[in-house]
Amino acid sequence: MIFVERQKISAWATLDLAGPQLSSLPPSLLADSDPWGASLAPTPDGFGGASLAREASRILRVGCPSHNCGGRCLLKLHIENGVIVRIDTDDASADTMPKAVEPAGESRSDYQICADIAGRLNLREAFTEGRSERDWVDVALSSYRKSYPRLPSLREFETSNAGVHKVAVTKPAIAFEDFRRDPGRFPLSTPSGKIEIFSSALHALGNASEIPAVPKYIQEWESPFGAEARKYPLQVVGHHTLARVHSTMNGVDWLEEAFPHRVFVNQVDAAARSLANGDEVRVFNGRGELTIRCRVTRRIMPGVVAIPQGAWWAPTDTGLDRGGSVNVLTSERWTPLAFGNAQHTVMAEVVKA
Amino acid sequence: MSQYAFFVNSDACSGCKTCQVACKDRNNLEAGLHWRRVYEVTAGVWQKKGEAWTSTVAAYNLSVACHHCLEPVCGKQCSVDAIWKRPDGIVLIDQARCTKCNKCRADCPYEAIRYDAATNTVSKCDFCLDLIESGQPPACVSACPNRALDFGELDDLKRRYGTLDRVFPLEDPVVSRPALVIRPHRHAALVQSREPEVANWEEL
Repeated sequence: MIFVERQKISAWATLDLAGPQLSSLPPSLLADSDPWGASLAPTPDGFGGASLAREASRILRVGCPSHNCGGRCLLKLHIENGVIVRIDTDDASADTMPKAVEPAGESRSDYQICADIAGRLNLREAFTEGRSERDWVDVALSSYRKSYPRLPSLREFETSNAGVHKVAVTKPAIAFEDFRRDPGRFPLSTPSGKIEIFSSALHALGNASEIPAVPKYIQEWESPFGAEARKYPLQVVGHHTLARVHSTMNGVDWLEEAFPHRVFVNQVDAAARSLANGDEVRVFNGRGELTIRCRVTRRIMPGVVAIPQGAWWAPTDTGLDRGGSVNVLTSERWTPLAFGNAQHTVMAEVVKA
Repeated sequence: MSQYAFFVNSDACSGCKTCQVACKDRNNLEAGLHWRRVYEVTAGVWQKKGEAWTSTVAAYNLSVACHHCLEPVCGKQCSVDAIWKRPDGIVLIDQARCTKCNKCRADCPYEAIRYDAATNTVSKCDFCLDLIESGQPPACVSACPNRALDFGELDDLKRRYGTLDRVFPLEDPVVSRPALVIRPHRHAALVQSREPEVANWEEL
């Protein structure tokens, strides 16, 4: 099941909130892969193809038949030169929640999946450090309580059945209250200690075109005003839909009929492309293409289309995604300063399928 | 005479369809069978002024089920009397008697009676009769996160919420006198003046 050339592996759970290696990685890098490329064509076991192992360094999400399913798949393999150097998950809270039903079939928590994979590599003990899921929650909570002692312990949480720790709001919150009252005594954490319109720290980065030192308009990398708009004239937004939590709950019939997976297209754009409500359409750009039915609506601006994110990737042999996963259109170029996902900076074209 | 009725506050409805899903969960309805459903009503146009788009678009949601009408026209043509009205106003269908003639579906002005594939007959909202009789609200009412639904005696609801029983796209209440009280969306008048349409027919 695991492709690995040598048993040179170290693995550990990263729930302790202190894992500097993981926390130093921006979220967009966690999916550092080419989801529609041939190199990741799915294999029968749901993993990537053989060429994956030749990649110098990547992090692969596993534990789900579609590793392109979005942010809810929290199980990751870290691979360097074809060797898994680390397995991690940051989701081990299921064990502390009240159980409504027994797990169906072979379903299990991310942590159990990770531990079982580690077990197949004879590394269960190294991964779990002998801790159960509850133990890891206890470790995380205890660590947090060092900086926030008013938080109840896990045992107190369990016996009180409080679920949520509430802190009473006794006075209105005022932004930078101390600073505004006495800026000399309570300076801000900026270099000048003041609110900075011109940021010397940003100026020092020397990337004025992408990170200006003063607030100003910057044309996006992909924009209706750029040359790319001639080929791909429509902006794509991958909004959260009410039917799913990212990819979780995809495929539940009661939810899919309530909110069918559709690309939302304004009447003006639909008319220009001879699209009728409900037509099967192809949405594509230089990175990928998908098919999906369209909802012609006036509730979106002309020039913009929306594809709810989180739909499960279902590629054909040529890479065309019939699942309607907006991820095949998005760039993995991260934002210059915060290293965040720029998943709404996307241009594409829509045609009748 | 007593008459149970629903109240819907369209102004508070976000269109989340929790009511619809709660109904299906409570009554174990297959996909495709909607006893409760939510209209998405839209109106208005987009116009280009120079390089900018301006819009007059407005919209609202309206959650509806069976209105348990005071004059249930659905039952008028039923040759086997499978549809009847209880003394508390709740309209019920006896599926065992149903001859599948579908006249009730054609006659109901609100499309409240649905084809029921599980029994190959028809079915509709029964006001969660078992819950009502044990003193609890119908599943849709208790599920609404925005508290946009309520139920009770029609006269009480009218006293509390007013007497409106029609808003686009609902039929003229003169046909069957629905036991329904509506608080319209704040933009309802605006929307209805701009050639409104139901935007989500495939979901209904």
